[in-house]
Amino acid sequence: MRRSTLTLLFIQLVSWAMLLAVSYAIARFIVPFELPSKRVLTGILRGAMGVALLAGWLAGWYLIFQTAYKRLSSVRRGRSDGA
Amino acid sequence: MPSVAEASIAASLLITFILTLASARLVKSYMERIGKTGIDVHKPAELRRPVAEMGGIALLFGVSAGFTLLLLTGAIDFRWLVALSSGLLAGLVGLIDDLKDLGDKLKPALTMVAFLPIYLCGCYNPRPALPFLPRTRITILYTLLLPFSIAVPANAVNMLDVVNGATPITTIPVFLAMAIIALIQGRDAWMPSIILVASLIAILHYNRYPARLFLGNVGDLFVGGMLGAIAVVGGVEIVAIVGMMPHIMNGFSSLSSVRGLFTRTSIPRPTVIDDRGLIWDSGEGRAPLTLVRLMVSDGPRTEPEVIRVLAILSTSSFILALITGLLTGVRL
Repeated sequence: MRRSTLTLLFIQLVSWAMLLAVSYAIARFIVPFELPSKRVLTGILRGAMGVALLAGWLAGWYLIFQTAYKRLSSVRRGRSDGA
Repeated sequence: MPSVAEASIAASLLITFILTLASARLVKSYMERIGKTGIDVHKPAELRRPVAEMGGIALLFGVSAGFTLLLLTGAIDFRWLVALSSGLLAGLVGLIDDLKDLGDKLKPALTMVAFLPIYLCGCYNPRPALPFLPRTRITILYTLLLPFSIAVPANAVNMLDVVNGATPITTIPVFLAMAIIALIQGRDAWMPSIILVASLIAILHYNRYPARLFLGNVGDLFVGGMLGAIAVVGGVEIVAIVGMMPHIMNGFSSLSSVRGLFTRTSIPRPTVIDDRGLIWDSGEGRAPLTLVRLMVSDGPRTEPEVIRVLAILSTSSFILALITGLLTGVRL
């Protein structure tokens, strides 16, 4: 299997693991989070934590794609330089 | 002796398959007759020939017939007619786009309208199951995201349909995963899902490499729209999301790299094809970082090789979708 195929499979697995991690974090930390007698603030903080998780996930994903592309194209350039 | 329900499901599958196949043949000859064809570009120069477009119309006929039969025999209820109308609305947008280019902003905007039947009939449950969270309550967020539930999968499927057979090859595993998880969890979403599988297998006969029929925007937006509609109405959202990983990767990577919506003609091409039919990275800095561009970034590939990688990625996302679906039953 070629390097780009393996890279894409790896990105897919990492993305899935990130999704599971986000879901786990929501179940483990965000859902049980509660400030006694402060329902509105609890809701806002829960939302903020959720948005932060999602933003981190998307930023991580963006970096993964950019890095993968740079590395793979350097393989191609290296090959054509050699030729 | 099969029960009436089993017989009606078997008959619906058979009718969907046969009707899709027969109408694909009719659409193909009609489109060739009126000259509604497109050049199949990812081939060696001598094999580049016109191929009939808008073959997705056959999917609309086949799936509608299958759903109608299931509905008439009482195997599925009214909610699935609503889901079908959402899919058909998305398909209609694609049909208009095939006939008159709607542009890079209007098309996604119009596909957003397709969520209305589901919203207006209340055919959704804002308590989706997530891994480790069998039941969430996100009423406001869910309702806010609903307009994207049809538009995003519809346009994501459309964006990945760049090589022969891409749509059936990448969406059959998603519908299968939704069917299997729905069956395990006792949800009725499995029946509509396998109707789509039957129809897509039939169209694959004409759309597989070397394609004799292109699905067009009408087919892509309909299939993607049905994916979203079945996920929402059937309550298998997370299975659909994970199953659509290749589409999401392609859409996210493309849109984030050019920072906005685009059409195939409004920006530099991400890939180029030589006379031998080899697909190369265009090396254009402003071109979107599509899945195919990533596939060829370490060296050129032929179209069948690209199709094979898409199949590998779809199979892997199918397995991940099944595991994710099973994890929605796990409570921490």
